Amino acid sequence: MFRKILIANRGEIAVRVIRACREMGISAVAIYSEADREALHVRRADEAYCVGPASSLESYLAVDRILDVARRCGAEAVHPGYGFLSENHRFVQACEESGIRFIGPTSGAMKVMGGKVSARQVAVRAQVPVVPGTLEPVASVNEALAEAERIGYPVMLKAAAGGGGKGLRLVPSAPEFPSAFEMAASEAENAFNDRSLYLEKYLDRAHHIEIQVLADSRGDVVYLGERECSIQRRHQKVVEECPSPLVTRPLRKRMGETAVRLARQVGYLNAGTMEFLVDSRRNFYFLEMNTRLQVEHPVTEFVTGIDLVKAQIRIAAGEALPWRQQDIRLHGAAIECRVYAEDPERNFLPSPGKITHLEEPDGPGIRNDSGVYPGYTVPIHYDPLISKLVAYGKNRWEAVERMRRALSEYKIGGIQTTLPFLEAVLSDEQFLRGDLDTGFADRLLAARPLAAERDHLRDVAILAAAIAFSRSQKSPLGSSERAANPWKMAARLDQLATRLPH
Amino acid sequence: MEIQLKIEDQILSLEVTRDGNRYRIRVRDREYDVDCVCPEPGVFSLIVDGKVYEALVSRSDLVHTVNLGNHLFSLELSDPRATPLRQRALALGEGPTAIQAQMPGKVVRILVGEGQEVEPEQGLLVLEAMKMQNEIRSPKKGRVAKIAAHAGATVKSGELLLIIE
Repeated sequence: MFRKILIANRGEIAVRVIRACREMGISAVAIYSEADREALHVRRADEAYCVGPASSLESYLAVDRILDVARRCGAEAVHPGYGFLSENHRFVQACEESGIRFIGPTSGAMKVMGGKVSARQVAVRAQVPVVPGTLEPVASVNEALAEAERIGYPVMLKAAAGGGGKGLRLVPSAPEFPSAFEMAASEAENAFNDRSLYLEKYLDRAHHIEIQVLADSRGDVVYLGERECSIQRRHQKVVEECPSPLVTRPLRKRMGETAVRLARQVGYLNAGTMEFLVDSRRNFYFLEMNTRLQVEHPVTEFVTGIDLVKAQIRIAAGEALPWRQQDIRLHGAAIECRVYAEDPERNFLPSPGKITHLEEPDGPGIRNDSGVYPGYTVPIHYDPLISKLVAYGKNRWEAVERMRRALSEYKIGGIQTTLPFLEAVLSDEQFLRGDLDTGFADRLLAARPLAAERDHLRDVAILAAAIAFSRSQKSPLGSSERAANPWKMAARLDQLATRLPH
Repeated sequence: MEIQLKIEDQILSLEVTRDGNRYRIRVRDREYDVDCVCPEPGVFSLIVDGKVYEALVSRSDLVHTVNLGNHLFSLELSDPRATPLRQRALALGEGPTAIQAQMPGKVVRILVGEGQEVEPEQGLLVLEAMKMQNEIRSPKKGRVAKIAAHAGATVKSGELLLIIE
């Protein structure tokens, strides 16, 4: 087993990997940018090295600097987390060449399955149904238009090098096509330095369901059930659960065996996820593969009882999978909510800033994978994910009840978060029935579920602020800052005066 | 005491009287009877009409940030007797208006020049936070009196960007 692992990531996922290392007696090395010296993952690590300025291009994506740190500190392996370098096959290749074990697939398998177009080709060869569309990137807007006519609208335009919802456009009909094509291509160029796009038919009211696989270096592969990820905003998942309310035991077996066949086809190694669209008649179509640990992995951990990060580390160290397929059992149900520093009432505008107060939920069946602490300033440079709140219950209903209870306990002061939106999702009747599809979040938001609640709370906020203000003005002698420190008060007034125009 | 309060462009006058943990607060024609204790610094536990609320309150200068049920509110409070007239005029939207950063971020572009006449909703500058660019617009018709920010600068929440008069 490794003695030291470098974690090439930040935030909650770096903290999650550090936890696995600590449980296994492995020394955890953090890297950080100049903006992240106070980040939780740095505080929790055994060793930490600064790899560059705030911009992730010069820090968390700087392959040479990260590998240099790994060599100098004597790390034998690198865990990439998700995002950043986790799906960059050149980084994997650089690790392979410098003799540092990459905790994930080989660069070859990643290159084939990470490319959206090449993964579709592999799927077709393995006789896995794919969403109707093009098997090659389209060369021009005219060729793309012709393909769109052939497939039939609505269509999805997708970046061949895509991920994270970038370079994606839903095109409802032909007139919108040329401008959507241009926007998707330029977004893809900015995000991935690759303009190429391909086309897929847009399946209305489909479930987004994915299968978790684990593969070891002997070629054994198991699937660990599914995750229902239909609740998405701007193609980013918001709420995920395991098992899916749609998936029956026979469907799980068929999808699972399909995912295992695909993994074998490319000699896949370590943890990976096959994403599928499933229509209401339970036909499934391969969408793409994520060649890394998923953000939403904790729901699978709750339901299977398997620690996926520790499994990843063991596989990377050359150990064989300790389970065969019949050993994998699903118990109960788990739901994850992603809590972001974004304002759901202002079109999910980022709301970075200082967390002035923090009360995290706990109690039966609750896990909160967090990357923050009270007094921490959520930086402006990175993804605004604060934590992943996960609830487990003996069935879906208990998991939902626990999640609702946990959301009501969660208090984050100083910044706006998506907690009110998550509460609206968890009390929506369609959600409670398990009637989910990828259009769910947009339909819910269109009904403005938060407006009435906010209006009511606004009146109470006025009362709270008035009380806070009156206490600061009139509190007993000595305890008031203003009364106790006239110098500070004078300086403040002075400062205030300079900010006003003359 | 009398309090002048601004929330979301609305200005209210409040009257607060205190008796131990009980507060009587008059807002316009309504009067509230509020029981309030402060069990932890910055935490206000309120009981209004028998219902329990917990508000997290932080402040910098006159701006109070209140988190209630995970909805965030920003309020400006002042004691009208202690506040200079010019500042009250500012709060009322007369005279010069200070445009402040609503969130920490980076100034990408400034779209106007000092002395330039601007229309309501005209873009003034572009602020980037968390990889998203947002245009800051003018709240009123007027003239750019001063530009305090410069392109490329990192600004904190509440930092002065420019002044429209």
